[in-house]
Amino acid sequence: MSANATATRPAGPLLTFKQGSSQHRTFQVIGWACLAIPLLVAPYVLPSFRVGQLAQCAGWAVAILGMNMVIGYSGLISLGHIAFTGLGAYTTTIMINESSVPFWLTLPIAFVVCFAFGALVGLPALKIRGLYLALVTFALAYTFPILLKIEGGGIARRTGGENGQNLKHRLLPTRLTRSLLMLNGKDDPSKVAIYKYFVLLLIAAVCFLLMRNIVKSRAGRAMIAIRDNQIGAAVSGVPLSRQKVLTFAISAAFAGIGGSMLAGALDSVGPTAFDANYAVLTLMGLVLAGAATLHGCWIGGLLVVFLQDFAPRLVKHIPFVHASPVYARAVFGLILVLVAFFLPGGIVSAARRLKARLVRVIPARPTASRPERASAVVGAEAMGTTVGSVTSR
Amino acid sequence: MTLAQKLKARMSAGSAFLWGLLAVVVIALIPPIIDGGSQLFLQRVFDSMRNGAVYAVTAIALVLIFKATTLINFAQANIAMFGTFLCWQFTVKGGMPVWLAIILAMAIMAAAGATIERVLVRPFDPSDHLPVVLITFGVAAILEAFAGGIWGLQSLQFPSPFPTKPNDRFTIGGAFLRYETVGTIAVMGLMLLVIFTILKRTKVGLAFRAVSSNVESARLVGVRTGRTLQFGWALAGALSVLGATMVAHQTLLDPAFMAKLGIFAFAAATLGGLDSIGGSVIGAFVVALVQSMLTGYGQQIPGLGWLKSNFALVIAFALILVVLLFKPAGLFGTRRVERV
Repeated sequence: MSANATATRPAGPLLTFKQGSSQHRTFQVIGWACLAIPLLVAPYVLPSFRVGQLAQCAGWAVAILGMNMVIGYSGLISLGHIAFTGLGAYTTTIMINESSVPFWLTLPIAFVVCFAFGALVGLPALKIRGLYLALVTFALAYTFPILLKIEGGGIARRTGGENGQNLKHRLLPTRLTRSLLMLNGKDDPSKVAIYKYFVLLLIAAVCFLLMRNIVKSRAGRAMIAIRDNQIGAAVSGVPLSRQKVLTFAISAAFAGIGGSMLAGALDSVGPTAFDANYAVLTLMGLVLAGAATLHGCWIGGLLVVFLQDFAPRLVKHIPFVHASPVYARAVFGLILVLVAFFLPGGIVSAARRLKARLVRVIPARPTASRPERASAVVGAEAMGTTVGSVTSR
Repeated sequence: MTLAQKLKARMSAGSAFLWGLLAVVVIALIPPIIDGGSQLFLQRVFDSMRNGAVYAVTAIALVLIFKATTLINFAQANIAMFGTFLCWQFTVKGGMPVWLAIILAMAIMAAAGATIERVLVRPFDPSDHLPVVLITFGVAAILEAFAGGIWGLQSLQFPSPFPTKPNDRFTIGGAFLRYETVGTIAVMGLMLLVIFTILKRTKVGLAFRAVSSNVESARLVGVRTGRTLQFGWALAGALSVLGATMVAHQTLLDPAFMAKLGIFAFAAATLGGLDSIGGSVIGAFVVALVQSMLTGYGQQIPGLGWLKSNFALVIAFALILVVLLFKPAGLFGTRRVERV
């Protein structure tokens, strides 16, 4: 909310609030309720396959949250986070299939595994600047599906190679959750779909809060400082190398959790679900939703799942052309180009601008007890609204 | 100066490590090579040379753009792919002679490259990398979609510009050197000659070298930098199409056929140095040779039994990673001074 405090004063806002006044609080509550109620109601009114898709959105949202940390907040361009997402998904699948580990427990394991591999791949990020890193990670995205099919070391046997692997123990509602979520009386597919939706939404919410705290912590600000001015950050005492590897590793870990969630949502994993096409698709979801914005990840998750679903139908219904579904990829490409030109902050920043036009919040005077903290938070938020631009060379 | 001193002056720790790694690979390869006999070895070398030539042409296209702008064109492979489809259209559907079709396709994709530079890339600050990544990826996706939509997703037969009958080959030491391979290498050599002539002997080449050396200074002395960069993109577009048409007969033609090759070209350019044309040519032949040797003899090396030809991409990835880790400028690239 404090982001509005720094917005320029528009000509005639519809509503004006004093920050912290009771009207302002009511407005905030109503605003959040407008977002939360559809989230809670949607699974009960939509058909079960749509609910399943929404559950996938939660997984992609967390994956994009991880990517955003690197691309948006650190200005390091990684195109290979899809490989970490895949790694997380396969970790979960293999743990469940071979050791019958419960789904919940596979998440921290996937986190640790992806953190380690992220640090390993992130080590080059120390030396590799800008587009070189994009190049390495792009090659990683291409190589990952092939690595899964290697027959040595039992890799192909565990991953299922070309065909992928089904989860032996699927996510199923327990009796308690059945009554808690009012699932009794629904048919089986919707029971499972609604249960998965809420489980994955909960995990995504936890990941979101974690990431929000990381971005606003000392480490997060160090990260943004490196992005905006590397030399300046180093002079101010940010340990560049350690911070970069740490950033890369944490973001990989989040991407991995997203993958684990996707494995849970889809009940199966396969090499084609984590290939270079998805690298482009998630990149598109990220930048269209808004790089360097926390809330962008939710929109990004929705975009990744539903654009895939709707783009082929969209191109089919272009008047006079009625293009074949092959052209769906052209839509993704066009979106990437258009975002670069016209919407560098993505949907979220456009929404923020719109909100600033409609609602004006008069900032309250900082409280005397902790003034420096309040201004620091405002500063971090304001920085968060701009897309990463590395000014140092 | 003695040779040893000269070597020491040129070699940094990074390149010493790289050459050492190469030496380890070579040593590991010696037993299976001796085991396989000279004929098989020669055959594998010959087979790799053709790939090397194609990687070289594609790598040069990447280097031309990187050298001038420090940008990497992720759409390069798909520009080449689209040009090859155009060429297929002209010769197979339109009945044009292959060479004429190749030249026509090269001209069209050169124009396309110049247009992409002018319309999509020039408006952005080259030091801000994200927009350029988005745009080149976007262009790649659009080209792939259109190729798939126009010509379909199934593999097409592409006519070779060289004689390809089973007996069109030289026999050297029992191994076969196909005319196609010789032709591809000859075309590559000719192309190199043309590029060097343009860069060293013409006014536009001089402008291009000035821009690659220092954009600001070039602009101050009156070089039209935008137009010069556009020329680089056009040249890169034409070149990559040429490389792709040389190899399409072998790999068959589909919308994804250049993507894998593109990664190898990246590996070649990275190994040779992303701003060195000659280096990337050498890098291309080294990459192709390593690929051919490791996938050919890998089964006999303990621990590399899984390394068959469909895993060749793993080699390219490992190579990119190792080079960038230990010698980011590549073997022959210019080392840039980093302040932090």
